[in-house]
Amino acid sequence: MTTTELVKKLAERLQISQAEARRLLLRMQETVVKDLESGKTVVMRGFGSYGTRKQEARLSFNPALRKRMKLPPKVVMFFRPSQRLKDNLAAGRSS
Amino acid sequence: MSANVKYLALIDAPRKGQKQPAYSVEFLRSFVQETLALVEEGLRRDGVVRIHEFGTFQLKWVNQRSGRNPRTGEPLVIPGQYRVVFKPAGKIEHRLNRRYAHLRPEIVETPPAPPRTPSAQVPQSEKLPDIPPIPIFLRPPYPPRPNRIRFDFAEEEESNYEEIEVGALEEVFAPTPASGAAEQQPARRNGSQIRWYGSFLLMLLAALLLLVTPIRERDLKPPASEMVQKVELNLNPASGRAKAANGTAKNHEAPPAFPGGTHQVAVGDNLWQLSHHYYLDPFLWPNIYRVNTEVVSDPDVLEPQEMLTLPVLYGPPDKLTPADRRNLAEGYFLVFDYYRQTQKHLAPFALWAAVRYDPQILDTHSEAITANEIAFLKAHDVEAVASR
Repeated sequence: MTTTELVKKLAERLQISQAEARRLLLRMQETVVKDLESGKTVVMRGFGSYGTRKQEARLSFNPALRKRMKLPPKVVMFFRPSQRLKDNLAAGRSS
Repeated sequence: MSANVKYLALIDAPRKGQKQPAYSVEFLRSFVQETLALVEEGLRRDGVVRIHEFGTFQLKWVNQRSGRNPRTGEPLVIPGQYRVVFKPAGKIEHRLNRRYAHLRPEIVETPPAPPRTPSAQVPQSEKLPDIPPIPIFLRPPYPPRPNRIRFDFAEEEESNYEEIEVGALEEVFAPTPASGAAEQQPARRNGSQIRWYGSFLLMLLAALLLLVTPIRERDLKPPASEMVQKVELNLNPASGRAKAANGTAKNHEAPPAFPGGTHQVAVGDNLWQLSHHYYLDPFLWPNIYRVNTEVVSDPDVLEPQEMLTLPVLYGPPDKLTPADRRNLAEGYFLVFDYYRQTQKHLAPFALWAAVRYDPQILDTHSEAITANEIAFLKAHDVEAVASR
């Protein structure tokens, strides 16, 4: 499923235009990312939670350069599915 | 399924600007619920949901594995199952990492690897520089080695020496100097032999060098002179042609812009680029094709390893001599001929170029040029044709 399909179905179910559905979807994404940027954890009950974690600087090996590299720290985003979602999808694809 | 109420408020926030339509809380709640439900449906149906500039949700199969109950420590088998995996979009990763955007991976200088057996090797390396390098044939004879002594004597005298360790042998032999002296003599003889061989080898080398050098010169000289003659032979008829074409001997004094040569085709070469490299003008490439029609059939395709002859260019590209112009016209005509045979639409343009370089090409190949092509030339404002 892609964004286009998601927007189409959303518009269908909520009786709104596709443009509106897309705009709302974008704004929802934007709120999630803004919260993540400020370091908060975002919980969508029944679906899962988004959060960030700081990955400290670490030593690694670059096989192309054959050199040991020090990688800078970075922020990693994660998504934790809720137990409900896990249970629902543990069986895999239905079709 | 219920979404966080805080969320709805955030989505609703732009309502104050009055630009966006206002949404009721119920509507927003249903919107979020429907979105999440649709993602779940998409996962169940396709296994993948890609949301642009946000990320990808994916169902990933995890194999059965063994684990332990964390509370009791009891081993158990965790069955294989699907997991929901989320990969954030690159754009979001960038946004989250603005704080560290200025940082780059750095190369860490690794300290040199320590020697494998430092205790044994370090004293040796300290000793080594003390010994000056001596040529092998000048080295003094080695002192007798305890190993050999032990062997010789063990064979000659008593068999019980064999059981004694090498390190202990020096002490064993110390009180018997006579046997030691007897052993040193053959060793010294060996040393003098080495010295003798060395000087003999040196003399042999010198003699060989003396012998070889005149032979080399003799061998090398004739081909070199032949090559010079060949080059002259190559140049002479060409320059003669140039003179004939000029009708004057003006170009006799000026050296040609490119003296001619050969080129072996490498991967990625083409005539256009070779011409640009050697003649400093890519448009002169048919000049190379003209001479190499036996090697190169299609001027647009060169095979690696082909040896190409590069003809002489008498004048620089901005001041081509009449001979150059004639050669180029001939080259372009050959290209034209090839393109016409292979039905390439470029053919008339090649003829056009040929005429632009030397209008006489129309006379020399008049029977090969059709009326259609003459019409093409006329349509493209070629003076030589227009006058006809």
